[in-house]
Parts: sequence; structure tokens; C-alpha cells
Amino acid sequence: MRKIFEKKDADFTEAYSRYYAVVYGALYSRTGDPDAAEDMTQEVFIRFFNKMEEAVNVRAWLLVTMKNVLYEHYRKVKNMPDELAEAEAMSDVSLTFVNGFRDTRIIIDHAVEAITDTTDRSIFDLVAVQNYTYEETAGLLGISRRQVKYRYGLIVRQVLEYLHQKGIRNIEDLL
Amino acid sequence: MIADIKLLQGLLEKYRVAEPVPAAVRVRVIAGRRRNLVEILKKLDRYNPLLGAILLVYFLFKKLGLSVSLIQSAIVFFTVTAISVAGVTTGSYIAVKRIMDKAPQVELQKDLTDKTATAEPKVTDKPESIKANDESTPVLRDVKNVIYLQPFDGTNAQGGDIALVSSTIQRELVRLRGVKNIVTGKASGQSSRLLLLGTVRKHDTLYAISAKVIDSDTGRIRFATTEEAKSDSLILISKKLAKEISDNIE
Repeated sequence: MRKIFEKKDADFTEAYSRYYAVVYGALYSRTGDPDAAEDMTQEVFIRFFNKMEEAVNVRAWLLVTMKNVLYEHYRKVKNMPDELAEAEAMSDVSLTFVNGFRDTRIIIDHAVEAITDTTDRSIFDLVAVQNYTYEETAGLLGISRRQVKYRYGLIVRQVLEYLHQKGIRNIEDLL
Repeated sequence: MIADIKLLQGLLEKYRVAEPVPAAVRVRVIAGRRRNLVEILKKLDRYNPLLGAILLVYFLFKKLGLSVSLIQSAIVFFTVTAISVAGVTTGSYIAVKRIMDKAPQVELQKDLTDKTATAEPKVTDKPESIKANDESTPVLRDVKNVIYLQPFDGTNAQGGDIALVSSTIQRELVRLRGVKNIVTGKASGQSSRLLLLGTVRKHDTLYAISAKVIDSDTGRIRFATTEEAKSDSLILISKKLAKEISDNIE
């Protein structure tokens, strides 16, 4: 008799549960179409299931795959030429945003990348980047609201300390 | 802390790190999370209804802010299912048993009502098995009088013979009237009103078995009889005596 589920299914469900909202939110912010974002999110996770063994950093793997799926979406569905589709999918708006603060943005990215704990990074992605409430984040990650609030406070302190270390003494000056 | 959070939020928004998702879309993401996973698993041919039920438990725990793995959810699911099945089975068994325990009495009462409507109540009142005087277990009647049976006394008779008569009468009364309606031993303060006393006397090869049923409230003898028996017919006569007692005290 076939098993109800295998370890791979359990690991996949765990990764899905942790990153589904992050991937969906990132796709939605790029397409502005919830249906397309949902379809593409499914496609990203189907590819992830088939290549799970290769993914060392699950979050990074999912975001790279997301860009590939987005590229295919622009090319096939939106009928964009290859170059344009690639530019749309791969470009990072903030890094092409030439307003004199590019270096600061890179430092911020590094500060965020310094969050190594996967749960903390998910909390940051959901609360800080995608504007999920503490309650919504708690429900998505399977931890209590109080824990989300507490951990988010520590993450904020960590990021700000990183910026201080990089010589940004007064954050208000950047705003 | 709130000031720090606002500071960082402003920084993330200004430098385009923030990608805010509208509230309606967030609600859609949360509501459709399990459905989308099921669709993905179906496309991957990994889905089965049992896994669907386990996923329901898994996401319910997540929603409650409890971090559990799929395996833990499966354990919870199967434990709850087993307890529910055991509960339902036990409940059903108890219900069926009660119905089955009650059913014969109801039928018997109906049967008795039908029979008492006929001309000869005393004859028709008796079950067929007793009429035929066979040894099979009769259908128990809804008797009212509980008999308190005391061990028989003896004169010239051996202890074994007395015990044989006493136990045979007791067994036969239990068979005819039900175990609830026969009380034995030295228990005092019994709720039974009727007291069965008896003696076994021996003259040469003959035994005289006497029994009387006394109403303990009034002191009146409700029934008394004496039967003669030989040593090889002690059991038969004891059974006959028990049947007479049972028939005559109602």
C-alpha cells in the first residue's frame, strides 16, 4: 500500500508553508495581478518540488525560480520580446533607481541579508517588506503574535545596528 | 522600539525595499494557502484524501499560532480519529445493548396483555416451556416478588442431600424468575418481602421435602407444600417444588 505521504512531502509542505506568502507577495508586487501571481506561485513550488534536493538555500532558490517563471510569463503571456521580458523579470527597481542613494540601498540590502535565521527572515519579509500584520504573520508561520512582535523588534534593532556599524550614525538623515 | 520600527519602515519604503501587499490580497493569500497546496500536490500526483485531512489539521494549528510538522499533524489526526471511532463504537454498543435488554420485556408484556384478554388467564399466563415441563430456559416473566431463600434444614438426612435439594430449588427458581428475583445467603435487611424456608426429612429410603413461603411483613404463610422423593428422584422433585412455589406466589 502506498504511504499517505513521504518525508519529501512533509519537507515540501514545511517550505511551502514558510515561503508561500513571500513568493506570492513578490510576484503580486511585480505583476499587480492576483490570479497571475497565484498561478505563477504554484508553478514556482512545482519546480521546487522537482528540484528540492538541489536547493541549499530554499528562499534564494525560490526567488531565482520566481524570476525565471516571471520571465516566461512576460514572454509567453504578455508576448514581450526576450530582451524586454528578461529586463522586466530580472531587474531590481531599486538598483536602477538613480537618485543618488544607490549605495545606501546596497547597505540596506546587506543589513537585511545579515538576518540569517530563516524564521526571522520570513518575519522581516512579511512584516517589513509586504506589510503583513503581526497577527497575519503569526498565522502564516505558525507562531504566536506575541512572538512575532518580539522577534520583529529584535530584527529591527539588528538592522539599525548594522547600519550604525557601516557609518550611518543618524538614520533620520537618510529619510 | 516603536520609533525604531517607524524609522526602519520609512527607510525601507524610501529605498524601495518594501513591496506592500494590499489587505485584500493578503486575505486572499491566507485564505487560499491550503487550497493552493492541494492543487499543487494534485498536479504533482502526491495528493490523497487522507493527506487532505491531515493538511486541514496542519493549517488549523498554524492558524492558531502553533508550530507543528506534517508528521505531528498526522499523529494528532489519527489519535483524534481513533478516539472518535472508539467513542462512537462504544456508544453504539451500549445503546444497542440497552435496546436489546429492554426489547424482550416489552414484547412479553404485550404478549401477556394479549393472553390475559382470553378466557383462561391462569393457563395462558404460563409460558409454553413450562406447560411442556421441558428443561429449556423459559422466557422470564416480569415478576414482582423477590424471594429470599434460606438454606434448607434437615432431619435424619445427610448434609449432601440437603444441599442438593436446596441448590436445585435455588437454580430452578433463578431459571424461572430471573437472578434478580432470588436472593440467597445470610444477607440481612433485604428488600425482599417473601421468605422461603424448607426442610428435608428422611424416613428409611424416602425423603419428605417441605417448603413454605412466608410474607415477612404480615407473618402469613403464602404457600406451603410437602413432596415425597426417593434418593434418585431428589433433583426432579426439587425442580417440581420450585415450579410450584414460583407459580403460587404471584
